[in-house]
Amino acid sequence: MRAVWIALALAAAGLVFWMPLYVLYVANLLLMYAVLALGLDILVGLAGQFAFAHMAFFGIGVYTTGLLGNRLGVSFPLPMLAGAALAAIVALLIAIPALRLRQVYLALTTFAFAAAAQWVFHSWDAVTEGSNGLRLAATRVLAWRIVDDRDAYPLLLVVALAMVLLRLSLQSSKLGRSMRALHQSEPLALASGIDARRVKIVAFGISGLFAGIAGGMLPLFNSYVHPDTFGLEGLVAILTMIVVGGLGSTFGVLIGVALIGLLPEVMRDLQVLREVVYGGLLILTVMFLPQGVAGAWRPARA
Amino acid sequence: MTALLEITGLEVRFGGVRAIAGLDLAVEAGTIHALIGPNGAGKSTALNCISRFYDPDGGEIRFEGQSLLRRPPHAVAGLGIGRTFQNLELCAQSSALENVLIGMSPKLDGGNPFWPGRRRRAEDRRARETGMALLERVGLAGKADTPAGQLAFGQQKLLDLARALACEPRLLLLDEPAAGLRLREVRALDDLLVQLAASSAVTILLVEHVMALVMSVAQRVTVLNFGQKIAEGTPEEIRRQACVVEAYLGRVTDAVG
Repeated sequence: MRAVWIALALAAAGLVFWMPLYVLYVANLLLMYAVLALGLDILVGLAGQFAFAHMAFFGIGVYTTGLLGNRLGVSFPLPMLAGAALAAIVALLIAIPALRLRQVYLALTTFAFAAAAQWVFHSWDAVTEGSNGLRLAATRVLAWRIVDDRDAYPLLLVVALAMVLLRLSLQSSKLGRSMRALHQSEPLALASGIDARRVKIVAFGISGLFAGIAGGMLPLFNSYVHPDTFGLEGLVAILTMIVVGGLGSTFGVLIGVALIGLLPEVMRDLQVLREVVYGGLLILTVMFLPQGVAGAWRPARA
Repeated sequence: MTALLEITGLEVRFGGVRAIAGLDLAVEAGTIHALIGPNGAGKSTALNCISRFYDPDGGEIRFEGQSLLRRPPHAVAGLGIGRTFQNLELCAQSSALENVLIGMSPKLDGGNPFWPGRRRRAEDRRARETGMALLERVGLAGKADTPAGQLAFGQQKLLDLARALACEPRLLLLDEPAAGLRLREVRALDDLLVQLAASSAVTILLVEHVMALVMSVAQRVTVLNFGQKIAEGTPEEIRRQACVVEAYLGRVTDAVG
């Protein structure tokens, strides 16, 4: 059964190669969103921390990768890995003071950090080119240059698959279990010998690592990035993805990414309504599918 | 016999209230020791000090000779002290088995979270077997895959107990395990506790309101009132002491006058 699913998924992934460039662009975008959303969900869905600095870590990944590629011409995947490492380190540093706070206070603090980071992306002209946006040179893989979405797709697919596997491994590990325990009852976690503070900090770091990798994926299929990419709208989009798909479930998050990620493409002519649709979907999900689309047929976690 | 747990001069104040006022308590290894007293006597507060959820304002708590007060709350389970909760704390969305595995945390190495290598998988398999055995012990083997939140109240209490046992404690702190249980369930719990104390090396400190349970399982009973120890002895001795009856029911003259 599982083998059939894997075969189908691989066939679908292969089919995309023969699709028009536009379809490949959307596929690439969804692969990047998948990594970004899986990362946010590690913190929010698995560990239950209302922290909203994710787009800042994503931005750190994008700018680090882009600048290493632009200025030093470093070959893939080194810039991506450097961006991910930096994003994870910043996430850890933010986590240490932020985790003295809970719930709405944690949400506000991390949100403020995200706003500050976006201000830096907007204003640090010497590095990010500020509000003009940054042109991204074509990514190099040794001697090969990635010039279009067809070139980028296989690389993005491999990176996204690797991150899905990491996430599945994390979820079934002792650390993943500790995150779920912490999410559901902190007293229970403590009484069970789980160092709640350490688990929260580690969750922050891993979440930042995923955001950094997603950031490293962007320059592979985009030639330009603007600081507005790292604003509230992006955060709302990935939050909607994980809530609609199903918090804490890899399968659910991927469904959410596909559903919500395709919306802007389907609604090309109705851009103004996009936020309204996100909001409406969020409310409907919370009311009728509290565990998301995945929760509708997912048994208990064992 | 030496005391497994030794509390001396424990002080806890909440604002101006002395919730615990100079409590001395020794729990001997291998016994079931009950802590009883009227509401607000400080029983649960004492338990929360031992499991390090509260920082006492004074006094000392020693477990196997080591001071517990220098340890953070999450280190207590690893030292060999498990606890249950009066107001059920469970991972409601996780399966019963996962709840037990969470309780097993101090015993598991966990391995690399990013790679399910052979060692990690082998440990996981062993942990699941141990977890199933614990569920069987409390009579929940058939419910391993059921989300904890969907279990009946009595079953949730038993699951909490199985979870607390999973860290292989030498001391088990039970906070009102019989509260809210039906009489039939209390009897089953009674048997289970006696069996536990007899078959494994676990010492039990029991905070309880249900007198039938206390009197039938406990070898030693300490009575608290207003944060102080007012009596201690075997269940028989306690039953006969006037001050205990008085603490629970008030003085006869009060009731009349």
